Amino acid sequence: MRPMLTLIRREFTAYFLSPIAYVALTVFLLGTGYLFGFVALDLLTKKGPVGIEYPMQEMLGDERFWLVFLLIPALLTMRLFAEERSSGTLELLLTAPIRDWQVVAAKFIAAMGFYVVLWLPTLLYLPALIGLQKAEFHPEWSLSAISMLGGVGAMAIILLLLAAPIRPGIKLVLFLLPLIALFAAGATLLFVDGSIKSGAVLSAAGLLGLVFLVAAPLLIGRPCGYRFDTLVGFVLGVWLLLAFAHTAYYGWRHFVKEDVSLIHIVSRIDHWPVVTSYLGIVLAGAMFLAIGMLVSSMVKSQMVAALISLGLSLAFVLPAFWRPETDTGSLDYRLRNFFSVPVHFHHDFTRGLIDSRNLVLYASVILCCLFLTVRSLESRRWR
Amino acid sequence: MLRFLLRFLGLVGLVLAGAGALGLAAEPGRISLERLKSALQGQGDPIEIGAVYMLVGGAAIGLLVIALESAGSMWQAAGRRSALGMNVLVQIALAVAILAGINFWSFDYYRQGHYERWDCTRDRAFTLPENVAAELKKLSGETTVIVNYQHQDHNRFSKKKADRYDSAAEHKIVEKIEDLVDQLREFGPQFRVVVLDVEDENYDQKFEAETAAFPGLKEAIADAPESSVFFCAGKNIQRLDFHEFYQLDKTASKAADNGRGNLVLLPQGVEPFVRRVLAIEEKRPRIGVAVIHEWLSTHGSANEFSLAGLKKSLTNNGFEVEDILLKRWGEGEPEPAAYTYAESRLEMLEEEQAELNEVIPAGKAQRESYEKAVKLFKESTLEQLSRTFSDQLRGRALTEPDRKLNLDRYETLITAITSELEQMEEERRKNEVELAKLSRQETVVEGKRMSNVKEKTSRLLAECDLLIIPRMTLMDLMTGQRIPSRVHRLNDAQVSAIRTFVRSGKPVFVMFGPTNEPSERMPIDAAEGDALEQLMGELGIVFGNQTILFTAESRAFAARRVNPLGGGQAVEIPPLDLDSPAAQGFADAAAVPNPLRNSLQLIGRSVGQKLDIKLRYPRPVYFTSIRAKPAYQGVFLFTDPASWNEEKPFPERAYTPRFEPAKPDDPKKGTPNEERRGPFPVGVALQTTVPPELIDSKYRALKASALVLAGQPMNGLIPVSLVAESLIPSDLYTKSDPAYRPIPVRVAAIGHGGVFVSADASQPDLSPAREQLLLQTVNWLLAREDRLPHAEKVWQYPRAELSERDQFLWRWGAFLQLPFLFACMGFAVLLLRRTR
Repeated sequence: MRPMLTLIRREFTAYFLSPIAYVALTVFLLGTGYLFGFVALDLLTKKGPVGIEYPMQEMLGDERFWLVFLLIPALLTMRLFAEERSSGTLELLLTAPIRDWQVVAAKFIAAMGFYVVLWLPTLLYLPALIGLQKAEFHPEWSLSAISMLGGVGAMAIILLLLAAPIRPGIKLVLFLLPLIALFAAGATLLFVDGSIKSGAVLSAAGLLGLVFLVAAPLLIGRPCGYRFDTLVGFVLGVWLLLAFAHTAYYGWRHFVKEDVSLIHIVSRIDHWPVVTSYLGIVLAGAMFLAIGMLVSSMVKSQMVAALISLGLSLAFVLPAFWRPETDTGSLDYRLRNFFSVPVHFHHDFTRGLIDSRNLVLYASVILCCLFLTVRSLESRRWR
Repeated sequence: MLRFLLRFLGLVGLVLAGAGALGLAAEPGRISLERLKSALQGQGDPIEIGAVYMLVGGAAIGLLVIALESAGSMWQAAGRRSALGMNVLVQIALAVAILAGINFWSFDYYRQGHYERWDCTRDRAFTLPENVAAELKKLSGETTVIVNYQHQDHNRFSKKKADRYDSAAEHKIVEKIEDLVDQLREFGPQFRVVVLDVEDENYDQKFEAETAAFPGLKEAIADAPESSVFFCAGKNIQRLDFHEFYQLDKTASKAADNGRGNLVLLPQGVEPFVRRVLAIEEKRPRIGVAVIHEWLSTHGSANEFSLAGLKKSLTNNGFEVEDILLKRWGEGEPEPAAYTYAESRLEMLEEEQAELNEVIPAGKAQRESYEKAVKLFKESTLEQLSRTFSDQLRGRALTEPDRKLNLDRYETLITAITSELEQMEEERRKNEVELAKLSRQETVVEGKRMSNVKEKTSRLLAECDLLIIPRMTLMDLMTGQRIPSRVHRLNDAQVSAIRTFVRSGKPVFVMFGPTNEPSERMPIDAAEGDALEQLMGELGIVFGNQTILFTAESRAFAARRVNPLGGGQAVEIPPLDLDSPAAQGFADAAAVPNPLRNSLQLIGRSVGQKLDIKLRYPRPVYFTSIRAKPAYQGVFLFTDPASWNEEKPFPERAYTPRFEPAKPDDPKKGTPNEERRGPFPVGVALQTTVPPELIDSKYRALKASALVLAGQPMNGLIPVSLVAESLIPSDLYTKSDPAYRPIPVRVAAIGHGGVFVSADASQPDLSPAREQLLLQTVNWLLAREDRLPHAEKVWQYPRAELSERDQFLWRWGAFLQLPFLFACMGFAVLLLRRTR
């Protein structure tokens, strides 16, 4: 895992060591600053019967915004492989003791990291966008809140273990000990509390899952020739994902379903559409980055990579300009709405809606592109 | 070389496809899959067909070349490292197949609900209530939802030019309707949604296509007073006006944000929308309008009398209207009767037909005689003619000019009588068609045969869901134009039928004008009271026996004194008061405001001004809580305070009505009849229970004994039954009877008979304010509360409350300061790197 982390660090810092990052940040913030200050804020402070119900819709729901925005992922990804290929460092990288998927994952994570950094300053707009009155901590501990924070803690521990410069065996032991303790405590509590009859089943299932998810890779992987440290990395990665899913689920339950939440935000404007908008921004950006990375892995010239990835990404933006027939439920409309990212934002994310179709599209394209990127890199070995 | 050719072919395909796409884009109309399919089948413009073939052919060549290229490179790869190459090939194919498959499944082509939408908004703005969703899930069959967007240039309720609030509201409501329609689509393919926008260049084409599919839709769209949503399934069409979904509150909009203004809408909930979908096959409520003369009916064609506007408004809003004529007019006094307009028309047509059957043969015979005369004048010599007409000629001989003169005269007569006969024949043909149509209506023929007034009235009323009884009386005090109130009186059989109607719990809406008469014409039986008013009294509505005059009318009376023939006609009277608290001296036991009054207030707020309902010469209508404690205030209409109640409203030579406060020794002092200043209640709407004695005669006996025991005499004009109820509530003599079940009933009364009369019968549209008064009252009476505007929730644009200074800082800080910060950081990094 260490080479991968090193690569992520290298790729991520590379953005900031070149002027590209600052130019991109400056231009991007000029654009979003204009949308915020002169469009959204203007509508939020208008006189008379003019206004905006969902401020993020005005910023992110316009097709024209996305036409310009597409340049960002293309600019961020064009150099990822094409530059290495043109400067001849790709061979060095591919012969280094790191797997192809790790190279791809590292570069993708680094690009995503920079992409997130790009959006982070826009969080400063939020107090005005949601009409924030106060945000306070309410120490009322519900089961969902505890579970959510437990998940966050677990993620932090796993990330620490992943990054810690210690032997894989010790990592595994350190990882297993608190988990076993946690399950044992949970099982004891469940047994003690007689009202929860399924306690035994739950704790047994948890333990079985633990054994399966930890032991199975080791038992199956070792005979197949996988290295111990890789398997430990895999185990920790799987647990990281599980912890993330756990946190997300209980976080959703806590903040959406429960009346009182740990962080109590009092705002004039609903803040959930802002949250869903940022979720959409991260996912859609990841999709465009994955497409850009795939293209970058296939061509030598950075400019060509940028242009082709821009062209491919346009397939997810141009349908928004198409206005089919009158029946808005017709197949034409449904196809347009399915593929068009601006429509996803205009209809869903910026208004506090999450549609599984959008998530599936983004996730599947991301995974497929990353997979094809790995295969594209591998192809250099056997072509 | 082969590779070059292949790639060249691919490029050619690409160019062809591009040219085809360009050609197709140049064609008018939108590109759709259907259009491509029909062009491929050779339908449409040749240029369009050519463009489609180029597009499809070019794309096919391009795809083929890509496939061959891919296969070639894979083959090459597989050839070099066959095992690895094949493995990779399979992996890539699988990855792409999974990508396509999972997205196809997620796209949910067959609409089987393979996806989920999570509504994370604070107030669940995009989630239908569970009960509504459950009802919609039960729907089967396709419902077409047509959103007809008219871009109105006038306000719905005032007919005034639309301002920016109206326009902004319309746009927002369209958005909200589209959102709701999206939610409806989640329930499956049973909803087809079409948006018709009059500003769309293809509007006419789409309009024709949609209206061809649904008979009656064209008329429904034409009759719609504003942008509306139509729900169509086969022949059934339901309409929902935009304001029934979200209603603009213009008053609040202008006052919002400390007077800066905002768009304030009152969401009426999704229930009205969903109810239209669910009740698409529901029968239209039938409203009976009971009047004493055809002139006063909804078919009346006389100005100032006709209720044609009432019918038009009700019909356009989904009601059926049927006239019930309660008197038959002939020589002498009118006789009690009960018949519909169709029956009356049938009778009239039969009469006309009989008349025509007599007149036409007579006319023909007349014409024949003229033709014979012409023949005679043409064929006979002058001598013969002189002999034939020797009596008329008195010895003079007929000359050639005489013959010509006679021939011309007869020919003119023949032409005239022929034209007249043709007209009569045409009329007879039309009558025959109409007669045949009416004669086929069993109810009309059967009704015509029935002669028992009570049975007939009961039968006609039984078919109605609501009964409206307008009694227009006083029309103009200056000219003395009026319909004497005694003419409106019904006989016992008719009142008994109406009592039976009320007993069944069906609602009644009465509009009784003042009963005052000029002193010299005061009828002998004026003090008898009216049986229908007595029935209203038993339900809790008491009509005052005065006429309300407005202060402004004093000036008219003064003008009349100066100019008895023309003075005092034009008087501007104040509109009814809907805004001030209703508790000014008429506080009911209930503190909850009347729902009708609330609705009308909200509609007034939508216009941003008072609803302009002016009633000249109304009559006070009082509400007395006599049975169960009312849930809300009964009175919903008040006059302006600048008015007084007058017992002798008719100006005479030596008398001018003017306000004279009751003297301390006046017996009317302290009673509702005391002469005093306004406001006066002129409209009451209440939900009560049917008087027990109407349900069973044994309660009548119990009531009578209660009266005797109480020793109560008649108390002026207030009905005896009312006195009994107020002293000995019906609960006392019904609660011991376990079989007694109170029957709820809704009643509304307005103290004016001409509220919904059209001044011009040829253009019978009611004013928007009167139309709303009618629709709200009727909907409330029929317990369709979901159609009354309400203000439980308020929607408005969110605002960031920032001072001018804060706005400046946010705006320029975000736009310039933040980017500048990062630019500086970049510059610093650059400098640092150079330093190193």
